[in-house]
Amino acid sequence: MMNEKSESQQQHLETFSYDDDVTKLFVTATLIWGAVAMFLGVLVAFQLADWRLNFGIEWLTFGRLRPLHTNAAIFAFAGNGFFAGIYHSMQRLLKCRMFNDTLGRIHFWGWQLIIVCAAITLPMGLSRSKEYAELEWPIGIMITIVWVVFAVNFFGTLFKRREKHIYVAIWFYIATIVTVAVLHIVNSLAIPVSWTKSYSIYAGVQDALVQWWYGHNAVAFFLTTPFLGLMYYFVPKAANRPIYSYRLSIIHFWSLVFLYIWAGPHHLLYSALPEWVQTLGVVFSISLWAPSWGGMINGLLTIRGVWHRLRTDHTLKFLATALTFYGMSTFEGPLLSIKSVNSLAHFTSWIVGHVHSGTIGWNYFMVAGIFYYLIPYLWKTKLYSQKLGHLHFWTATIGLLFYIVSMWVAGVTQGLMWRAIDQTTGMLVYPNFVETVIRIVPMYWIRAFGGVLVLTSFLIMMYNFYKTIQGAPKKVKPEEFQAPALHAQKHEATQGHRKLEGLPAIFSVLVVIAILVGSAIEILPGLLSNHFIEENPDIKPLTALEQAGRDIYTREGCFYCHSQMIRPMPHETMRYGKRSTAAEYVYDHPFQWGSRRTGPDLARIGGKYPNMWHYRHMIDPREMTPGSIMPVYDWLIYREIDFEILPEKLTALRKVGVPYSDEEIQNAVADAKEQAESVSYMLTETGVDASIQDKEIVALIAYLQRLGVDAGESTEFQFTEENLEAEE
Amino acid sequence: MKSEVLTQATNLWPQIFALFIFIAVFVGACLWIFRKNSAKVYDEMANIPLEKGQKR
Repeated sequence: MMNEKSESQQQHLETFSYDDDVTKLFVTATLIWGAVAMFLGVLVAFQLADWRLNFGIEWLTFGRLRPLHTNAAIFAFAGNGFFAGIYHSMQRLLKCRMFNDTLGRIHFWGWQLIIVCAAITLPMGLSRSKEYAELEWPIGIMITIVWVVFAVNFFGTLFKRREKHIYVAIWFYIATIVTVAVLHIVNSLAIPVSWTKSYSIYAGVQDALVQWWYGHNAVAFFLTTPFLGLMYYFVPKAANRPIYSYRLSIIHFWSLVFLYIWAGPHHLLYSALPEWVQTLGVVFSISLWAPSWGGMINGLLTIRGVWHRLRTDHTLKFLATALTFYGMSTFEGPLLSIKSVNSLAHFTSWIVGHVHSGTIGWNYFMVAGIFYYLIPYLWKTKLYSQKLGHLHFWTATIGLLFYIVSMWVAGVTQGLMWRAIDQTTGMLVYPNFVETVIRIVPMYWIRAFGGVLVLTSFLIMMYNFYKTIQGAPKKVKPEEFQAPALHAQKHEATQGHRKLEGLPAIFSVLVVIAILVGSAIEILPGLLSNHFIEENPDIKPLTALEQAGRDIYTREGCFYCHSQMIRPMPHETMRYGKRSTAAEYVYDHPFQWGSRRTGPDLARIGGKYPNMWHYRHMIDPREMTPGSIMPVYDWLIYREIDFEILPEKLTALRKVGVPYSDEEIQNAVADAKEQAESVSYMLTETGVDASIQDKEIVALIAYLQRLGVDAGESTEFQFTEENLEAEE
Repeated sequence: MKSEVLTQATNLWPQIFALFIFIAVFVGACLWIFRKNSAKVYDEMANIPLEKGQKR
C-alpha cells in the first residue's frame, strides 16, 4: 500500500534523516544510571539486613540513600530509558527528524545535571521529605524547565510530521508529558526558607492526598504510560507484525488514562483521610485491573505465531517477560487496594516486593528488551554475545523472584505478627515491635541476595552492550529516508477519532481533561474546604526548637522507616495508642505519615520514654532495644542546632498557614535556647556534658517528646516497670 | 457549599446518574470503535510502526 501511495506522489517526496545521536546519548546514560541505581538498591538492602553497613557515615545512612535509590531508579534509569525509546520511535512513527537537535541536547544534559544534583543533595539530607518528590525547590524548578524543553521539542516534532495518523504509542507519550507536568508542579508547591530548605504549602491530610495523587501517578505516568507507548512500538517491531488489536489499544488508552489518576488514595487506606476519598481510590484501583490487563493481553497476543523466537530473540524474550510481570503487578496492585487486604499488607515489605515486581519486572525488562533491539540497530552492528544475553535474562529473572518471594513472606509474616491478639488474654502476642523485626531479618538477607543477582544481570548486560558498541563500525553515514510532506498528501475524508488523531493540540487537551476529572473530584474539596477536617483546639503548632527537631527528622528520612499514622484497628491502638485523627496534622508541612514500618509507629511516642532513653537510643539503638536494626545516629551528638535560621523558618511556616504570632517569631531563638536547656537538663543530671544543649539531638528529642502529646494521650512519662528498667 | 454537597450524600440518584454516564460513555466508545467498515482504517494505523519512510 505504501508503494501505491508513494508512486502517485513521487514528485512530492522529501528526503530526511533521523537524529539518532540523541538516542545514543540517552541509551548510554540509562546504562550508567541503571547500574548506579541498582548498586544503591543493593547497598540499602544490605543495610536493612545489617545495620553497620552505613560504615558510621551519615551520608551513607539508609534514610538518605533510600531516596537516592528510588530517584535514581525512577528518574535516572527509567527516565533516560524511555527518553531513548521515545526519541527513537517517535521520529520513525512520524516519519520526520526531531523538531530541533539542540533542544534534544539541552533536554539530555539538563536531565543529567538534575540527576547529579540529586546525587549530591540527597545524601546531604536536603530533602522535601515527600516520596519520589524529595528534591528541593531549585532542582524542582530545573526539572520543570527541562520538561518544558522536552515538551517543546516533542510537540514541535508532532507539528512538522509527515505521517498523518498519530499512532497509539504517541498518545501514551502525550499523556506522559502533560500529566507529569501537572503532577510535578502541583505537588512541588512550597514556600522556600533558603536555597536548600522549603515547606510544602499543603499540610497534613491535604499534603498526604496531594502527595499520593502525585506518588501513585508517578508510577502511572512515569513508569507505565511511556513504557506502554514503547510497548506498542517495540513489540510489533520485534515480532514484525502489527499490534494484535488496534481497537483494543484505543479502549486501553482512554480507560487507563482516565482511571489511573483516581487511584492515589489507596496509599492512605484506614488513615485520617476522609472515608469517601478512600472509597473512590479503592473503586478506581480495582477498575484499573481491566485496562492494565487489556494492554498486557494486546501486547502478548501480538507475539502469537512467533513464540518460538522467544528462545533466540532477546528483545522478544525480555518484552514478553516484562509484559508478564506487568500483568502480575497490575493484578497485585488492585488486590492490595482492597481494604481488608490492605489492612494486612500496608506498612509491610509486601508493598516493597510489589513495587519491585513492577520496577524490575516491567521497567528494567522493558528497557533491556528495547535496548537489545536498539543498540545493534543504532550502532549498525550485531550483538556481541548471544550467550551472555541468555545469562543476563536468567540472572535477572531468578534474582527478581528471590526478591519478590522473600518480600511476600516477610510482609505477610510481619503483618500477621503485628495483628496477632491472644484469644484468652486479649493482649498482643508480640507486644515488642522488635520481635517482628528480628523474625524477618533472614528475609532481608534473601532479598539482598536477589538484589545482587539483579545487579549482576545488569552488569552482564552492560558488558555485552559495551563489547557490541566497541565492535561496531566507526563513522557510518546516517541513513536517509523519503516520505511525502504532510500538506502534499491527498486529504481523505476524515472523521471521528481519525480526525482527532490528526489534531495533536485538541487530543492533548482531551487527555488533560481526562486526568483532571479525577484529580478535581478527589483533591479540590479537601483543598477548598477545611471543614472536612474537624478542628481540635488542643492541637498547637510546634515550638521553635521542636520545629528544628522536625527538620532534623525530615533530613534524616526517619519517615522511610517510621510511620506517624495509627490506624483504627484494635492491634494498632493497643500497640501505639488512640487512633490518629485528621485534626492532629493540620500544622504538618509536610505530612510524615510514612509508608513502611521498618520500625514502630511514632505518632504517639511523645512522653513514652524519658529523654535519656532517646539520647542513648540514638547513640546505640541496641542498648535500648536489643535486636534493633536501626543505624547509629551519633552525629546528632556533635552537630550544632542552627538557631539563627529559626525565625525565618517560622515566618515561612506562617506563610503556609501555621499561626505563629509576631512575638513567637521574634523570640524564636531565645525560646528555642530556653527549651533546649530544659530538655538537656535531664541528660546533664545523669552525667552528659553540658555542651549537649546546643546539639541537634536535643532538638530531635524535643520534637519526639511532643509527638501525639496534644491529642491528649500519654502526656506524661509513664513510670511503668518496663520504662524504669529501660531508664536504668 | 460543602454542606450542600454533603446533604446529597444519601441521595442515590446523582450516584446512579454518574454510574450511567460512565457506562454509557464506555459502551458508546466501544460501539463506535467496532463500527462497520472501520477495519481498513485500523489496519492502516496498526502498520505504521512497520514503516519508517522509504529508504533512499
